[in-house]
Amino acid sequence: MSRNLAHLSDIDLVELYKKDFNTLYIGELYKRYSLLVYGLSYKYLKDEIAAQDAVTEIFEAVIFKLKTHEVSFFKSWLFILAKNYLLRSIEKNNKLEINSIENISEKFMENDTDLYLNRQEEESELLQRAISNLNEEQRTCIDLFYYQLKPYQEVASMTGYDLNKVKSAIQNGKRNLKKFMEENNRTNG
Amino acid sequence: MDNEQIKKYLANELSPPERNAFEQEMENDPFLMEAIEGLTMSNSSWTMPELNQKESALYSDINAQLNKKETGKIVAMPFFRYAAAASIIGILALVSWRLFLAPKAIDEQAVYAAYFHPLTHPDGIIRGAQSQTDEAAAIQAYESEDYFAAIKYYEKLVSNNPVNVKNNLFLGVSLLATNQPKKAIEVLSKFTASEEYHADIEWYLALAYLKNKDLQQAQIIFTALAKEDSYYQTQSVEILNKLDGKLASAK
Repeated sequence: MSRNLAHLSDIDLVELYKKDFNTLYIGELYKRYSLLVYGLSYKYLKDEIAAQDAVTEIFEAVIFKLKTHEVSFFKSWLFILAKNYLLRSIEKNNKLEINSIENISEKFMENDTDLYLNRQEEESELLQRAISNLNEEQRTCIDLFYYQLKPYQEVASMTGYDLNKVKSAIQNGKRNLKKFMEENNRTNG
Repeated sequence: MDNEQIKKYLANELSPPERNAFEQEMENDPFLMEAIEGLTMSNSSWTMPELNQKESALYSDINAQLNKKETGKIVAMPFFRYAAAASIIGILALVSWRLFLAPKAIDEQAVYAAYFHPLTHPDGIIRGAQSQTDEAAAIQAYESEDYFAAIKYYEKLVSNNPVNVKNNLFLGVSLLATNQPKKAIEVLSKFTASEEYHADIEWYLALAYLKNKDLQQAQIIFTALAKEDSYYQTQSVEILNKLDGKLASAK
C-alpha cells in the first residue's frame, strides 16, 4: 500500500528508514533526488544508460549505507556519496577524465559569498568597494545577475559574452569578493 | 528546490525573474549546479514531455529494485515459484546443517583480536622529537602506542576541526585500541561516505562492530569490503568465512 510521505522532511525519512529499514522511505527520497543524481551521473559518465544505471546503484548504496551511517543533512551526504561513487567508477573504467572532488569544499566555501551579497545594507560600503575592485567582466556579470536579477542567458545576450564565460565570471567574481571582504574584515577586526 | 521547478527550468518554462531566482539558488548549491550541467549536456533543449518521460524511466528502474529488496516476493512467472520453493528447501537444508552438523563457530572476540592492528600513521615523526603542535603530539603518542594520550590530543584536534577525516580515523583507531568500541563506532560511522581513507574507515568500523558484538553490522561492512579492491579485501573474506556459523545464527 502506498503512503503519502511528501510532507515529511528528508531527515524524517532517514530516521524512519533507520527504524525498520523499510525501503518505502528511500523510495520517497529517490523521488526527490533521482533527477539530480541522474544529472550529476551524466555529467561524469557522459552516457545515458551508464548514468541511469549509476542512479540505481547509488541508491542501492544509500539503502545499505544508511543502515550504519549518521546523516544530518541528507542532500549534502547524498551529493558526496554520489560524487565519490562516480569518481570511483571513472577511475575503474579509466577512460574518462577525472574532475577533482576537492572542488566540492571549495564550492561550498564560495557559496558563503552569497551571504555577503545578501547583506547589502550592513556592509554596503565595503561591498561596493569590493565590487569596484573586480575587473570589468566580473563586475558587469555580478551586477546584472545579483542586482538586476537577470538570468544567465540574458546576461550573456546583454554583454555579448558566451554562457560559460558569464558563469565563470560570476563564480570568479564571487571568489574575489569573498577574498576582498575577508581581508578587510581581518584588517579591521 | 523540487523536481517541478527543475523541469520547468530545463524546459525553459520559467519567467526571467524566476530563472534568475533558480540560478541564484544554483550558485548556492553545488549539487544542483552540477546536476543541471549534466542534464543540459545530455539534452540542450529539453521539453516537458521528455523530462516527464525521463523521470518515469528513473522511477521504473528503482521501483523494480526497491520491490525486490522490500518484499523479496516472487510473483511474476510459475518458473520462479518453483525456483523459490527449491530455494526454500535449500535454505532449510543449510540451516539444519548449520544448527546440527556444522563445526562450532569460532569466537568473534578471538577473530577481532587476530585482525585488529592499529593503522600505521602516514605522517610518522621521528621518535623523541619535540612535539610542537597538538597534531605532532597526537602522532607521537599514537606511534608510541600511548593510545590514551593520543585520544586526548585527537579529541582536541577533532573539536577544532570536526571534518578532518584523518584525525577522526586515528581517534577511532585509538579508541578501539583502548577497548572503547562504542565510541569508535560513533566517531568512524560519521565518515563512511568519505573518499579519503575510505577503506580504512570501513575496516576499523567493521572491527569496532565486531568487538561490540554487533555481528550483523560487522557482516554488512565486511561483505562490502570483500567486494572492494583494497588492502582489506582478503582479510574481510577470511573474517566472513571464520564467522560464518556465528553470523548465520545471529540472523
